[in-house]
Amino acid sequence: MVNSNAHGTEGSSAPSLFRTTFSANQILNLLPRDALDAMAGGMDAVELRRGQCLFEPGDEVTQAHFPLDSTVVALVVPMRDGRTVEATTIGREGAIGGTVSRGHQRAFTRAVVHIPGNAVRISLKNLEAAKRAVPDVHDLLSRYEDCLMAQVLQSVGCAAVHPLEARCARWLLLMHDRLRQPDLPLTQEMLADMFGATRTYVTRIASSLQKRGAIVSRRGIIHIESRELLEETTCECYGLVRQHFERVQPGLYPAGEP
Amino acid sequence: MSKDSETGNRLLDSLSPRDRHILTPDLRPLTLDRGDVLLEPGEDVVQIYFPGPGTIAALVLHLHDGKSAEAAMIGMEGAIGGIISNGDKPAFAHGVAEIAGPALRLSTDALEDAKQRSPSLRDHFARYADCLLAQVLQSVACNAVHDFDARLARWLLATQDRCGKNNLKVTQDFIADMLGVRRPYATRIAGQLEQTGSIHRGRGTITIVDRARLERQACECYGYLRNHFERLLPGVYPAYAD
Repeated sequence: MVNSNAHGTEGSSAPSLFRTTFSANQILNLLPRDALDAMAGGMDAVELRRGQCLFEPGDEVTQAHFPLDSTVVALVVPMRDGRTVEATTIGREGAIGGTVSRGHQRAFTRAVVHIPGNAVRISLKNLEAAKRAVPDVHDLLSRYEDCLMAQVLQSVGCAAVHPLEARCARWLLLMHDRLRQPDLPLTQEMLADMFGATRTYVTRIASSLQKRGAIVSRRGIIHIESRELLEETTCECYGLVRQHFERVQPGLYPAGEP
Repeated sequence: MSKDSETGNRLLDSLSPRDRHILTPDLRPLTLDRGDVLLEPGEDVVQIYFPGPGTIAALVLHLHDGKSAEAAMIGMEGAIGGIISNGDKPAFAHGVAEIAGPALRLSTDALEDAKQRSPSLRDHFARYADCLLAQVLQSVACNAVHDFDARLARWLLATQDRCGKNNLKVTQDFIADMLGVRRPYATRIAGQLEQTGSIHRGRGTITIVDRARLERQACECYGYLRNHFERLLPGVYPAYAD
């Protein structure tokens, strides 16, 4: 059953679905007008709260969410020891739920909202109908799924081999790309949870990054001070995935801050 | 590929006869040798490979500093090439045959045509795509936090499931490279496992001696994935029988 948490706020406070809304998600932004028209009837805009779960492992997934602007959702794996470890992170470049499975399958991971904000929601039934009606929709979503797979594949190797500092730098860059502004509303505690690392270890890494001038860690915020330094600290994984996005579908990867 | 109606690949064999019939004219049998390249990064994916019994392929990343890591292991439960991407896009990871054996090849065009023609076939492959994505999502988390001995046990079980044999033709060096650790370390941990009685190391081989014990030594990732497969594609993941 769909988790009741998945419904955003209803009523007059819910965001409206304007044409301009679609430019806040890279996939929707790339779709031709007739595709959006085909889908619009089955879409609504919702507000996602921090910590909200779009689905839990085992839930039937019946909707796809397209994050808008700086909304970010993480797919996490709940482990037996109580840790919930990040498997991948999806923001305005993508969509969460049913894109690969085509819907009506049981979710494998938990989708949890990291950075709150708006999203466009569409039932998978409507999305599948749109894919059949408009080939461009099917093609664009395939390209997105390919890029998502590349991101996850690279992370498998990255998690096995690369030091936590490089992995943290990579993740901060990914977040910066999606949020498009340097003040990331994140805490070191969140980072530790996501990587399944101890707070002590993450604090040490954050201190090191701060000492070198890459970030400034403030209360509730990690400020990106120098992208260049983060790019020097990170592993090749960041660049390789970004390159794949550009190659498979130009305009899909959210461009960095101008 | 013994019987007329069966290919030996469980993903294909679990299709309805009608759906399998759509693919049959375009399926080409072949033999894969260890090291055969199935996918080259940057080259468009135009073929899908369906491993047969005992054959194992993998998506492998070549990281800097000469390191590598296996991102996904695929045997007779699945397929490699164009499963998520639907073909005609550049491959991201290397696709390589790890354990030699029979396989079938199908062009991505033929599969896409078949999916257009048959909703049930499209659904079947969507389920598998979901399982493959689940496999790699789990591996990210597993590699991030699980100890190497548990990861090693999981890898050995996964290999045995696909090989269908106790005796795995793999070296400790190969396993180290696939799991992204230094070779002496892998040898040491494998030695520890051997001492518990779950495996026996031979020359260029590893034998699973006590499967039940090895399952207890593996992390929960092994069980999670099997359950997910079973839920989405009942009977497709091979149940290893002693």
